[in-house]
Amino acid sequence: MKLGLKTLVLVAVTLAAQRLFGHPQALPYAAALLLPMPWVIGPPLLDLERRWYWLAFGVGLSWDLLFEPVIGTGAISWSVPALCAWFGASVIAERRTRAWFVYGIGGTLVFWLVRSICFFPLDLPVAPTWAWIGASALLTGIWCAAVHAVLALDLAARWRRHRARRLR
Amino acid sequence: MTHRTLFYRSLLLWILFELFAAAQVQGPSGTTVLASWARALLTPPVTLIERLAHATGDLVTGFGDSRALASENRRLTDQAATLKSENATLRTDLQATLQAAESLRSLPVFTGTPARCLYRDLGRGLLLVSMDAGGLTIGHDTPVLGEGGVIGRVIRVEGQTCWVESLTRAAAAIAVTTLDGVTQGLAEGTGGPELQIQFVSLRAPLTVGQELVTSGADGIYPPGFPVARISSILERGGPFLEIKAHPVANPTTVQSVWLIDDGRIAKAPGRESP
Repeated sequence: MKLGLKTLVLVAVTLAAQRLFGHPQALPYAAALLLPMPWVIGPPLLDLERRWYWLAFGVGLSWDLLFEPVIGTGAISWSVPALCAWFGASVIAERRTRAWFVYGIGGTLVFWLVRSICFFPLDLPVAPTWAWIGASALLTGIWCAAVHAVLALDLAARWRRHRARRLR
Repeated sequence: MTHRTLFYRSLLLWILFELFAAAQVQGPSGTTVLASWARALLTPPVTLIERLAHATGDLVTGFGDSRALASENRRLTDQAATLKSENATLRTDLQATLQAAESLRSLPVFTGTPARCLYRDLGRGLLLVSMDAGGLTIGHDTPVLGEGGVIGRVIRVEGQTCWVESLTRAAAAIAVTTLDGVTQGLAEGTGGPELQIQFVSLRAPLTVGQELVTSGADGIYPPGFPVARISSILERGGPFLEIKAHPVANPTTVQSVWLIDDGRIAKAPGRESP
């Protein structure tokens, strides 16, 4: 499977999961977890090419389709954390799991701030509570850190080595 | 791609996305938020342009009004100058009339119409005088008094103006007498500034400087009005004295005259007519 298509599928899965997290029978703060955040802060922390930055706009527009009353604000809300992450990653060399945690928290705060700013002139209901924002930042930071931890484990390589050993 | 380029491109996209979102949201007035933004953006310059247009219109109107005002001001200034000139003329006329009236105080009481001298033809001994509208009806041979005495008589009437024959005209004549009524004669015009007194006896007791007044014998001029003052008396051997006299009323300087209503001459109180 090509990388682009794989990414598309994974993003769709992420958004679908985000949708499930907002289900009425889910945990109260489950929807506060911003699952797509690793797609935004991940590419700069993984030192991928700059074109991965534009993925944030795609994620944002998809977010608008699924979660926002209007289309456009999500693209802004998701691209600003991405831009901040690219700027931050260009000056900070830290790439370990705690960096993902901090970038996740920062990206989440920037997301909610920019979303409020975008909604304000449109006279749309904005602001989640401070508790919600705090929970969202914490959960998303943990989620980003977890994603990096899984990536760092490189389970695919371990699985291939395990298969190779068994075949011998 | 540098960070700056990335930022500018992102900024452009953010603006476009925000505008796109604003186009989807309905405002309280039923229009989209984007339309209200556009209205808020366009209203100040449109209002400014409207006010500028109004100000320009007002300026043009004011300029036109000021031009009309300046023109009206010029017209009024000219009118004021004309009225001032007319006023000066009227004052001069009034002064002359008052002077004439003052000089006529010693004359017999009479009724008449004041008139203003418009034109003098001293070569022919004619004056053109103008009366005010509504005055007495002036007829032919109406006696005319000037400053100090008799000027002449009316020989032609043209509406409110009439031609006056001066006493100094060559063909003019007036019956005169001395103040005491002893000596009588006929004063004839010479075409010059003097009068010639005819038919005065050699024995008449006259002196140079003596005043002659109308005698009324000619049937035109009422008696008692000053006519001339004797300037020279000569005896050349004829049956009459050769007498010359200067008219009391100078036709060359007269400005206002009185046209005497001949039929209503009143007798001056305390003064006998000759």
